[in-house]
Amino acid sequence: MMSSIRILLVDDHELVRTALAERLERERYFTVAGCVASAEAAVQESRTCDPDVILMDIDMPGLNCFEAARQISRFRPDCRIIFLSAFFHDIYIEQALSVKARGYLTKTESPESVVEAILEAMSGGVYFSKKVRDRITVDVKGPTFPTARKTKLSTLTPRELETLRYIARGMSKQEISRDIGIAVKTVDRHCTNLMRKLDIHDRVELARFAIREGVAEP
Amino acid sequence: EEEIQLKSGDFRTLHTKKIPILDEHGEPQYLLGISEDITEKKKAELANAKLENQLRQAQKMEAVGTLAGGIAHGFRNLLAAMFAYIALAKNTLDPGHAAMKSLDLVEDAATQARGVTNALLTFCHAAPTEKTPFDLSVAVRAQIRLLRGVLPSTIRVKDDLAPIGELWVYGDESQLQQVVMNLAINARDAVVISGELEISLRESSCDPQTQSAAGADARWAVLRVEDNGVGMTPEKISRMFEPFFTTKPRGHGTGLGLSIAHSIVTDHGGRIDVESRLGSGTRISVHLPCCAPPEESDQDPRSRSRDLGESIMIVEQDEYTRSIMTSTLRYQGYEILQVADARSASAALQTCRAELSLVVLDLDLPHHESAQLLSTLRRTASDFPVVGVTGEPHLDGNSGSVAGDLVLRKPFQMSELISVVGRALNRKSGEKSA
Repeated sequence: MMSSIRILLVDDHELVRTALAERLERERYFTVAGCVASAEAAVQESRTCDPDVILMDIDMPGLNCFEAARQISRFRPDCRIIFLSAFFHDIYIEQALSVKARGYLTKTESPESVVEAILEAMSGGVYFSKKVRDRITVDVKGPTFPTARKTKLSTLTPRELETLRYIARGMSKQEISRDIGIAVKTVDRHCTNLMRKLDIHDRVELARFAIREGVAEP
Repeated sequence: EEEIQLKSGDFRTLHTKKIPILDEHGEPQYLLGISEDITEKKKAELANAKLENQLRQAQKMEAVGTLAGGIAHGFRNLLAAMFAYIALAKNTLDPGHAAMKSLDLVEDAATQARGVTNALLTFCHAAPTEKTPFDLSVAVRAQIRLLRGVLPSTIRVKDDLAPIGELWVYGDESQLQQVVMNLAINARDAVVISGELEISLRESSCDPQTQSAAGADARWAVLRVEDNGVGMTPEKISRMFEPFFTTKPRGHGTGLGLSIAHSIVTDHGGRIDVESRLGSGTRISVHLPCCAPPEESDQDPRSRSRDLGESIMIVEQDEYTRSIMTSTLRYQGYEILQVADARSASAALQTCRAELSLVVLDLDLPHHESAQLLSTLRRTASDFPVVGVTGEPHLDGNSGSVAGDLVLRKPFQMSELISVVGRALNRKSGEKSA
């Protein structure tokens, strides 16, 4: 007999969490093993609830979801992470691929798509919409997502990009350091580098840039 | 400051200082005047003020866009939950249940709410767009046909469009059709009772940003929507692209149409210009950069969707790459068997080669495993189709074991994988039928 697929739901909107949990519980082989409201909680919960699949919202306050995915993959390499977002941005797809996500769904897709994505991930595949799938490029380093327009943004390293997202949320260097788990000095270095690369030397302007480029949600 | 007219008829602005020259009794005897020609300085000041105004306007639009995006984000989450609960409720009830009709109505209302949310997201560039090269003339013609059907007969719609096939634009066709529709609806509202609406589409070699001749390769399409309606005051023109700004009575418009049009055009690298005179009408010009027409598809006409059940083995050492290739081909209708190394591949070939139609093989497996696997395969089935995948730029199809045109070199897109797999299978079926 097939054992049930354990799912951890991560979304800061309780309505979304509850609705999704109720829908997934109706599937015979699905068990919602946990529901949490932040990426930090997802890291903690995935240590204890032993999920096969994590469905995680992209834009939540606190720890960045892609960083959380990286942390979870270290101690649960077999756990399949599928991202859910209200938005469809190239930059998110690029980051999702960089953490080896098993799928990317927008919240306008039907609950059946979520079920399909989980089943596809569990059968060794990935779930991306067709227009994303066709554009995925395999190079010598693995799958990547070439963005249509290469902007100044593409010069940033993943860490600098992540730091930019936190700055756009108005977080201080101390808060960023605590959330990612790196030294304040290192955060400071990322800030200096990204300001130099973007030629923007003001936090407010950085936040505006991040929102305009789709790195952070308004 | 005073303005003088020269003999040539030109006007100049002078800044003049007048100093009285006094006599020994302290009475003014003469007047010394020193005039400086400040015409150019004044022009520069005016240009600066205009630029500053444009910048303030752009910042205001950006701020409102940010706010609108935030609202839309929240709404989308709520709507996602509503749709999920509606689906749940419908699944729970019998199809003939009295509440089913009410649920359908709730779903309709939620769908409309999603439409408004999507409009807001389009405004703040967050809605998904699908950009491809398309013939703008064809798209505009379709919208004009639609407009003629929906506008009152008292409004005559004239058109003057570039021939089909001449103006290609890289963009989201449905979004740009929405621009035509929004501009036309605005024009309709300006024409109070009866009047004329003219839509034209022409090519221009003038760069709308600099108003000067564009580079040799740069071509622009200019779409004009012109009406002979009530026109606008300069104050209204300055605010017409602000979201929620409307002069229509309450309940007759959201005030989002023109701001969405502006946002879409900007997102497509274009620009909107407005000329209007109160009582005479308005002309809105949308400038869009042209692109080259798409090349004819080089896909084999026989490369149709495959029959379900054709099986492919993917031998790829990188697990994530393998997963993505698996799903890509699975969604094309193929059955996929995926393995990570040559040993597992050999075992699979021994047990189920008859069921397999093709092998997609990583040619860079360690310890020359790819070459060994290929030679084993060729000994038993010399013509078995194999698609090779390699990161080596100069690999020559593994000494002839893989046909040159069936080698995929990294980087490659998934669409190329689909195409080469289709080619290999078509060749196989062609050989069989021959």
